[in-house]
Amino acid sequence: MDSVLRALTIYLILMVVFRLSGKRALADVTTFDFILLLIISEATQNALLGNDFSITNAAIVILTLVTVDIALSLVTARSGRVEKLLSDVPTIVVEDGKPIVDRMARLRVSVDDVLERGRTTQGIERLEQIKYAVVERSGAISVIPM
Amino acid sequence: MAGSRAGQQPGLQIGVDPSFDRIQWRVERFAWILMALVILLALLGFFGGGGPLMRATERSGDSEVRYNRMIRFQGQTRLEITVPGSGGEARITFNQPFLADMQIEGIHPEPAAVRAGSESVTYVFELAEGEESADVSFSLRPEKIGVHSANIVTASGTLSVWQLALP
Repeated sequence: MDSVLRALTIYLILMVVFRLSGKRALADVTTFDFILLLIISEATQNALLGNDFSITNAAIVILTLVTVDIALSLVTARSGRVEKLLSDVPTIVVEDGKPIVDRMARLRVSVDDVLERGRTTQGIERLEQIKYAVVERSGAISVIPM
Repeated sequence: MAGSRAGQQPGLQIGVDPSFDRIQWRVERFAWILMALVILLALLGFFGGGGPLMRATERSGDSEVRYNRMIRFQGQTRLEITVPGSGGEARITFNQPFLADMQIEGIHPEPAAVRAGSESVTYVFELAEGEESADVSFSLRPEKIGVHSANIVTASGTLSVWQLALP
């Protein structure tokens, strides 16, 4: 029983923390983000396993995490509202070559980020060549040329 | 062009296989139900770690032991024993094979004395004045996978306990 409850609690905590940390949190993983991820996994390990290192415990914890994930994906597939709540919505940050400054500030995205993405994926040279730039739910920037 | 047979799709070089997809989807669905069932059983206590269905109690006269049937290899578990005393002390005796496979992590309250023999170990607890029985809790850690059975001898009889340590 305790394994299932532990896994559920940790899943919930991680989901809330990462959801509230915003779109850009882990989308462009820098070296430091990667280290942070490792530290987070170390920190959750003890809480997940307690001092029970049995295979049964590990199996139940893994099974619970995966099953909750499947269950939530089933719920989000059926309900648009829950999906928004759990997985965010995309945000347009550049429209017809013009950056929407307040949105970019809120999402912690700079014009340089958009241009970099435009260069790497579309070979775009200038902001005016961008019809739309969208910060997707995953935090990745999509660039649609004129 | 021919229709979309397995592995072929007009215009697209792609290895699709709709019939395999369908079978896989069915197997997945079945597995999800199975996973949910396993979690339900785990919540009830079938895989150790506590849970309502696997709590067990044995009684003999005034003595009682409460414990979990399902435990985990090197995971913590507790035996809670209520034992009647006489002459100001209460005694709990375990058979040696049980203790050989269980590491005792702690006894609460601490025994006043431990008497060891080749076949058994006896823990002696001093009773508070006016008390006729003691509640003692043993924190244990199984050192072996499989069935652990104990005969716990108290002043009012023998309590037989078995626990299954999962890997």
